[in-house]
Amino acid sequence: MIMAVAALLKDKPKPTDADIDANISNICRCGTFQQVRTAIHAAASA
Amino acid sequence: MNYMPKIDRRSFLVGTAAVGGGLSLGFAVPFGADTALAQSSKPELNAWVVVRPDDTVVIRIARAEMGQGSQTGLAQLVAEELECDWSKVTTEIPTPGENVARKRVWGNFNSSGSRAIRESQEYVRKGGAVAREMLLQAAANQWSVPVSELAVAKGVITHKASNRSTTYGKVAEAAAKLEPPTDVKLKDPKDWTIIGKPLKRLDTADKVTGKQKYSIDFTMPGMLCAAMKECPVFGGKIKSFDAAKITSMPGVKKVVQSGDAAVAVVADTWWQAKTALAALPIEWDEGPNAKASTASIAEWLKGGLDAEEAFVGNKSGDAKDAISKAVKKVEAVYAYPYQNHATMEPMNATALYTADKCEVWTSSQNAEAAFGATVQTSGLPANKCEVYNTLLGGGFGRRTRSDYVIHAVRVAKSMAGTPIKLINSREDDMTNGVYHPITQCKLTGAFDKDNNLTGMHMRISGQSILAYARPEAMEGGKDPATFQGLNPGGAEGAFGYSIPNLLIDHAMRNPHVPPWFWRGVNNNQNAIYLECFMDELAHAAGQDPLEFRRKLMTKHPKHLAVLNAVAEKVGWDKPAPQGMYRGLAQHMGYGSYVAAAAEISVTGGNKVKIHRIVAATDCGHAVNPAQIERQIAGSFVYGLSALFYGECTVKDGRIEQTNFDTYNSMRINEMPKVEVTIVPSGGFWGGVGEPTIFVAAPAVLNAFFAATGKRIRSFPLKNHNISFA
Repeated sequence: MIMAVAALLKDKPKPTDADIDANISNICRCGTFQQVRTAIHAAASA
Repeated sequence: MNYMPKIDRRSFLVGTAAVGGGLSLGFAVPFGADTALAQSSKPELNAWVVVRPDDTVVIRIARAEMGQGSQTGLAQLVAEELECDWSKVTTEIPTPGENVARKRVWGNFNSSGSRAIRESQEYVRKGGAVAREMLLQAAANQWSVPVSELAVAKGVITHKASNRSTTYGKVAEAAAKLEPPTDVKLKDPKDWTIIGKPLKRLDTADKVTGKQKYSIDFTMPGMLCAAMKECPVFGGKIKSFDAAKITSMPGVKKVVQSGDAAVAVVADTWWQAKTALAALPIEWDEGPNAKASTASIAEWLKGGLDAEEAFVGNKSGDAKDAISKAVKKVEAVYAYPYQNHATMEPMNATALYTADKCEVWTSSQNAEAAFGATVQTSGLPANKCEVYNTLLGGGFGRRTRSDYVIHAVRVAKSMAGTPIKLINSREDDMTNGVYHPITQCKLTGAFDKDNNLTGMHMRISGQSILAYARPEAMEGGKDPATFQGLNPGGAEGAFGYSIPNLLIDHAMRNPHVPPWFWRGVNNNQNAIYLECFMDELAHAAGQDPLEFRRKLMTKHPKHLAVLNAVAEKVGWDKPAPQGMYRGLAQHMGYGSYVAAAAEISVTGGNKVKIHRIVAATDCGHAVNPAQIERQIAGSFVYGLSALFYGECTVKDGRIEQTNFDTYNSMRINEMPKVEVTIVPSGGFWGGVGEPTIFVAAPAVLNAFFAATGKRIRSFPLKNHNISFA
């Protein structure tokens, strides 16, 4: 998941929610997707 | 005070000596310095608390941490009573061997049934309070003042009258030598400053940076790897295998039979072991179940829906009589499939057996059960065995079973002196796991001429988990856990409706596929059956589903309160936004009351977009609201993955699904917005990890009916060509 996000941010430094939906396809069985999405936006604006 | 036996320093020394012995053999330190109780873990105030001279506080957490956050929550409970500085708190995991050596001072290690906090909250808080009293007494002794004149905050002790102050770290050495007080008073919940706060998890940084090691990452010098195959038909056995065919393959060291139904290949690397295993000719005796299929199992269960004999779980009045006299009768049959836990980290364990010691490094939801399995399988006495448990890459109930530990120890025992790491492939986990039990349910509701619900019969037919997993917990042939959330009362899972004539019973049918506890357990299907049927009854009576429920819930105020909370938050009294449809559900389990409302849209009759989930929980005391919120959001991913995708089908006696391509799981683009309302009413401690999963599926299914007029009664939804939009 972290590697996929790193690749996404390299390609799209300011991803939209739609970009995240289209590019992050990793499975998370614990269902942390809300936090992952928040973290991606936080990393993008850091 | 039997919850906190006196510190037996001799047994403590035995415990640490065992750890020291392990380290002196030159092993790599298993999971970082935090795993084993190092000699530096002094001064120890009691089993729970170590305060170091630099004022850092080590809190020991016996329950397993698999992402659910109880490591942080339990530390909050101890720290609250200890009055220490939260920013200086770290945790460590005691081992079950040390627990046995210290007369089970840490109590139960089990993290299942959402019990980590609710079943240990009292003794861990007392552990913190006892340590605080000892630290204060040490300061009082040093200053020769009465302890009653001292105050403490964030680990700083002050004596106002003499204007002196000291810290926990400075008095810890002296405090550790004092007798622990025999009675301590716990704080009033209104005075809590750490419990109830949305504190950050203690383990996040290590996970994000990859520093956190899981048992699948474990390695040690000289370690070999094992891959294992079990008979694909449950209940079958090995007839023969031809080890000679693969012994010359790269890296292969040994072929070992484990029990009567499994064979393992040991090699230098796991990939070599797996490759050789795939080439190993094995003949199976598939046993009597080789013809079983999903259809044959369903047919058998169907017979239970109308069978004469059934175990009664909840009964009032005469439901059958009420149904026979009904002016209007409503009937529906539901079915719930087998499902796999599919933890991200497959089952694995590393074992090292020598003539005088057996050690296991693994991830278990119950390290004591893994320890018991190690003792039993190794044949060594308990004081020569040890299990080092680490954080789990997912559990969901699967890791309460120690089968993988048993296999690892058997293989290691056949190669004494060589550490063996056994890893299940995803395919092994999928096809030789233990499964969410399969059941069907026939519900019949009776109305009088005024559309009052006069009776209901809920007949469950199907599998008992306890008959397989814990036969000793059966009650005269009945599996009480079948009735989770449907019981007449009790803290675990009480039925939330008053129906004058009620019968809930179970015709047990146990197919050969082994069932197990699966996050939410029997509540999952019970909540779907009951809450979707409640919706069916409301519509049959021409009543609003919320109002219909409310009338039946007046004697169940806690159930009703969470239902009202979600109804209010979702805006049930106003129409849903254009194109949106809503559904409701409530249930109770593991001590907590939960409810959910879903807001969805459906395009083309089968493409579902879940726009919004509103969830509420009354878990009594809410220890860490931020963690609860995340657990609840995650529970909808787990529950809705099961609803849309989760099914293990049976063909020729074996499970057909082998990986995520055929056993799918929700992705980020399918994740609904989950809004969580925590309504802790206080006075009790309810679980968090599981309860909201119960209401995930029924809330969405009821919304699907509102949107389409179609009632789906068998799962998963993919079988009805229904998918996420």
